[in-house]
Amino acid sequence: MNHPQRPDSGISELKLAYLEVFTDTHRRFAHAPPAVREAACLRLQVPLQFAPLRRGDVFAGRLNELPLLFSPEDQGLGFCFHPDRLPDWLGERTRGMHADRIGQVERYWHDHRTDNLVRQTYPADLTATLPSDAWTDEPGEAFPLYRLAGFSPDFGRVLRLGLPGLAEEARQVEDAMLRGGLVDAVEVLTGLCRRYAVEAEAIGDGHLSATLDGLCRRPPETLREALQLVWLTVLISGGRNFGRMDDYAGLFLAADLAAGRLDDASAQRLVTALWRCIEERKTTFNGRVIIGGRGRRNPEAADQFARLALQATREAPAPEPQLTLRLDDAQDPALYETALDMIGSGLTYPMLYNDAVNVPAVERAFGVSQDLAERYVPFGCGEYVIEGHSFGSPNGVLNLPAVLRNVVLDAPSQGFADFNALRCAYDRRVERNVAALAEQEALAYDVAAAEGAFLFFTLLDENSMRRGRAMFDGGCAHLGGTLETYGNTNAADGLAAIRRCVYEQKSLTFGRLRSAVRADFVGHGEVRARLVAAPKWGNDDPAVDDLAAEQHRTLCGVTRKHGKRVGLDSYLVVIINNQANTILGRHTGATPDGRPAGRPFANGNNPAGGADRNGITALLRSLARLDPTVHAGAVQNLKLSPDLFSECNCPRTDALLRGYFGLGGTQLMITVVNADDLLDAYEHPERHPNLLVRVGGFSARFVELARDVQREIISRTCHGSLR
Amino acid sequence: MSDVRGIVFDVQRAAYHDGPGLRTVVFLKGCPLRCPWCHNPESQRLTPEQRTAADGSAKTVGREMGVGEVMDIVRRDDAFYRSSGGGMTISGGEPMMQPEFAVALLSAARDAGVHTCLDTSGAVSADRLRRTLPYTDLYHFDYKITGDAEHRAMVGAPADLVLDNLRMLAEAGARIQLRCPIITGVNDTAEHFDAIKQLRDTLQLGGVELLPYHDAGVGKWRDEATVRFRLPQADEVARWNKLVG
Repeated sequence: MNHPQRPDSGISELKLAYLEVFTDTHRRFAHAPPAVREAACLRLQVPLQFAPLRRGDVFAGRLNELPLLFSPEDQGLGFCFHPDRLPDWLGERTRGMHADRIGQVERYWHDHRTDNLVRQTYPADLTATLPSDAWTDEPGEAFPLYRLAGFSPDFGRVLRLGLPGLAEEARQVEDAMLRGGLVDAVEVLTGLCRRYAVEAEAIGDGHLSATLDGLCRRPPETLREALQLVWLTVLISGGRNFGRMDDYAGLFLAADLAAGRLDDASAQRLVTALWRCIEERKTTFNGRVIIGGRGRRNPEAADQFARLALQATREAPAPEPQLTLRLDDAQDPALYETALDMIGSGLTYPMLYNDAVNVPAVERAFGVSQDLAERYVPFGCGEYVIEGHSFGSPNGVLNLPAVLRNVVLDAPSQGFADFNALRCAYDRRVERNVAALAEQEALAYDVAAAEGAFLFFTLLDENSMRRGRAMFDGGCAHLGGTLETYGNTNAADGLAAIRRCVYEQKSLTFGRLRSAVRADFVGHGEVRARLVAAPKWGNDDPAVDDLAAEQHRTLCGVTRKHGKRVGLDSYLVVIINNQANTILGRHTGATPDGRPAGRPFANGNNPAGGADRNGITALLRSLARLDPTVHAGAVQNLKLSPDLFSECNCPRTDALLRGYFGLGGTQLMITVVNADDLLDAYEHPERHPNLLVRVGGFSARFVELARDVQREIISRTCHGSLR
Repeated sequence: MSDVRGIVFDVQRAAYHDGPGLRTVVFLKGCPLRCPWCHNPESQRLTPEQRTAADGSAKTVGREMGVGEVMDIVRRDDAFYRSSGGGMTISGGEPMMQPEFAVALLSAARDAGVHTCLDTSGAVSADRLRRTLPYTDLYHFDYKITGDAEHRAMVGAPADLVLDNLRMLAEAGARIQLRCPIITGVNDTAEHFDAIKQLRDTLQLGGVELLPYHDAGVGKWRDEATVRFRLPQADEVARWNKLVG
């Protein structure tokens, strides 16, 4: 029997010590400048956070999940604490033996973790509008999210500087405290490289060891060094996305090929190996790699890299990386042709983004120059950020169908005088939520700035370094935010159905509508049938599309207004959707579009499942109706039958997509799948382990999704060639 | 725009298989023929009708529409016609059962710069077809079965009527694609494939498309018994295509 005071193993003792020392460091530096405290904590965190090298690793860097750490986004922001991770991390036995020591740590962080601090600073009215954080488990109209996502560093700059250059820039910062923190941060990253170099040496991988050693001493010179530095930088900064990789890696590729250091095959192996690292990390909603598009600094070399990137996705088909192809007429047309072929084979990648529409849209939505707009990248699930310039974390969830439902349920007993009165009541209620979420976003940034310098983000952000300010303390040149809205389609369909049935045809009284919604349509089948029969988004029907487009403008306008009010450089709606359409649907009662309680909402900007019945051109015309110049991205998921990509049909499908982009379509994410295969995978998952589908702003193996998410995907219309 | 009205039983957008590019297909009601393999039996009568669908639901098939109303739908996909080289196809039924309406639609599409294609069985008077010539970019002309007796027995019209119309259109310089439904045990004969080839070569037609029988029409309506033919195998279809070269 072990002595009760002794841990059951050395590693557990080390982990327990980490919890206590990290906690103690945070406590001791309570009154120090945030940069100093953060640096002190990072020195403790990074050695434990990075797992040892494994034989066969092409790139060094693999993360351990920690229960206590500093991170911009790890189900929290800043100082993140996850008691739920302790059992696995420490082992039950250690936990049981040291319950008192662990209890002290838990009590400390309950009061000090940054997400709780954000919540604690809410004024009373904000708490009233945002009473709960449990958006996945409780019904509600609006919820805050605690994270600092939405920064895409200019890796081109990072690669030019290398670690010594970053250190030199850090040393130039005037503010001594921030300077010290930044210098420490570069040292921590350099130390990590050194550590991995030693580990590589120890397992006899001289090549990897030399790569890492080189990075400690000078800027990267080869593709392998460049990708290694980017990989470690992303991991250590808490980033999850990779920006315009073709542009920053293309030059290294071209130089290696020209110098004979790499041939096509060895270059391909490197890129594919990085793809496997990204997939292994499994961020689910992130892992974006952007290729193609306007404004690349080295377009020819970038095209060369983009071809390898496409091929890597063919060789390592998986949910990540989320390969994203920005389309621009000036680039190699073979990229698009390859993309179509890949999409047709069911990879769900690359996603297609239309620069001809998106660049001017970003220019207007963000209020930036064309040069900056050309640097837009779809981040994570698809919210646009401007590489090396803007920060735009999606920190709020707005459940629009719940708002509409509550407007109907809370209406005055006599209902509304006319449709316009109802719509105004809806718009007012939406605005109340948006105003609260905007305040919450600004507040989160303020608390973040007080709690941390976010040293790695600051280092990676040229503007912050030039200004000598921490990222959220005046460093970021464009501190914006985004608001995730869900069920936009159901809300628009619901408004259209109310207008049609209650106010135009008068086939329903408002009272009957309300009773039916309240009763979840039980005993009100006829009411529901009328609501379902009303025009639905996705059919190119102006009766609902006009209304949806107006509601979109109103919502986006209100969001921007409140962003300004709270002092953000932009605050924009994103209709990005992960699987939240299904999750929010679980806890939302019946809605006036005829959707029963508990059912999923429509995904992203898409029609409600199966509501689009007028052919794919009609669907695409509806999708193209939303004004892209007032928001920061909306996902459009298409489910297409493989026959559309047969040799004989592919030219028409190509024309279909070109037609949509010509109409102003912003982007497409295309799942090519047989409707029967999906049904079969639902019943017999073992037969389809690798069936990839696009859910919302992410791809997944179908069989790994929750049952109701699977059903939602099955419910979507599968467009075929209608023979 | 002409306000001629007609009976339409469907307008289908984004069709892949009804002419070049992406097309909107306007299905007109009424057909002089009664082909037993018809996959749109609801198209045969000229007037709107109540039908019981396979799932037991009642459906009204066919509704009166004006040329302007149809063109409003057709024009919505202009961008896709441009990107694909597509346009409007009038099908049926036999569109020439509503000659005024069909011609008015073709003419309106032509005015709007929309490519026009007319699906016809050819089993109508030459005068009717002749009126479509100025507005029709492409004919999909059915050739169903070889031999007058067989033609009369199977589809209910004399073969010469169809062949004379085909020659008339060809001589007038129309672009014609011959479309031939092939039904195993009915017209998959060497004689028929020879005749198809000969027509193509002597009339210098734009092309031939064999349409292997499919059973989409079987069981479509609960209130209509439909003959079921054997579905051809892929290698059979390949052999047929080889026969006509």
